[in-house]
Amino acid sequence: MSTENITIDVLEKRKRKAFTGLLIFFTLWQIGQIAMFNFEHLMSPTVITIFSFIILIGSLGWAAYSVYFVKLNSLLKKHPNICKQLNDERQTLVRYKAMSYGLSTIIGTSALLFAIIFSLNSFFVFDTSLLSGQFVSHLIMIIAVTSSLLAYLLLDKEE
Amino acid sequence: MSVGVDNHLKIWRAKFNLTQLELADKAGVSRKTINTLERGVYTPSVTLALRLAELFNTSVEDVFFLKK
Repeated sequence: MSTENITIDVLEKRKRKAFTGLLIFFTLWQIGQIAMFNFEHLMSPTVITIFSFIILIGSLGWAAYSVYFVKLNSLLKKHPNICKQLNDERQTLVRYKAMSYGLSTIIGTSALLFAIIFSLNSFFVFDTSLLSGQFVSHLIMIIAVTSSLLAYLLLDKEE
Repeated sequence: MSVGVDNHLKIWRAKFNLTQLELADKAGVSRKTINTLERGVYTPSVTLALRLAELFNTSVEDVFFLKK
């Protein structure tokens, strides 16, 4: 990343690009992972190949954007004044709000999963191994990360 | 991002012949923050409101006011 003629607008755009990339590839990677970890036994070989490809693309993209993000952070450290401007009071508020939306989504998801499991156990003979602890915690983790990042990107949108 | 406060920031900025970026640099915030302030999307903290008023050599009430 070039450090010449760097402006706050350029850094802001790069930060947004990094977050968008991280969100897209993390979602792809984790959707693939959760499907393969929990439902592989229900999939045909073709579907398994597709999900393996999704995991590969997602993880490689996520790794690439993570490197981009680290480079961007080191670039920001070289420009403390711009960094301070980028993290101004509006930005702090947007970050807090995004975290708050993320937390609300986690509570909502947990409540929904609880209701589903409770209903299935009450009214049907339900194989609880389909909703394992690993599946539920993995799903909640994905939703926590994606909803917070998505809320951040939407709240930080200028227009 | 609360409602109820409007401002004449755009008018004051024009009086001083400043771009959003120039005003943002002077106030120590991002251009996006100035843009959202001017559009009434974001309500500033007391500190930022006072800082902006100070930059225009005026009182905070001349720049920011309650919506009626």
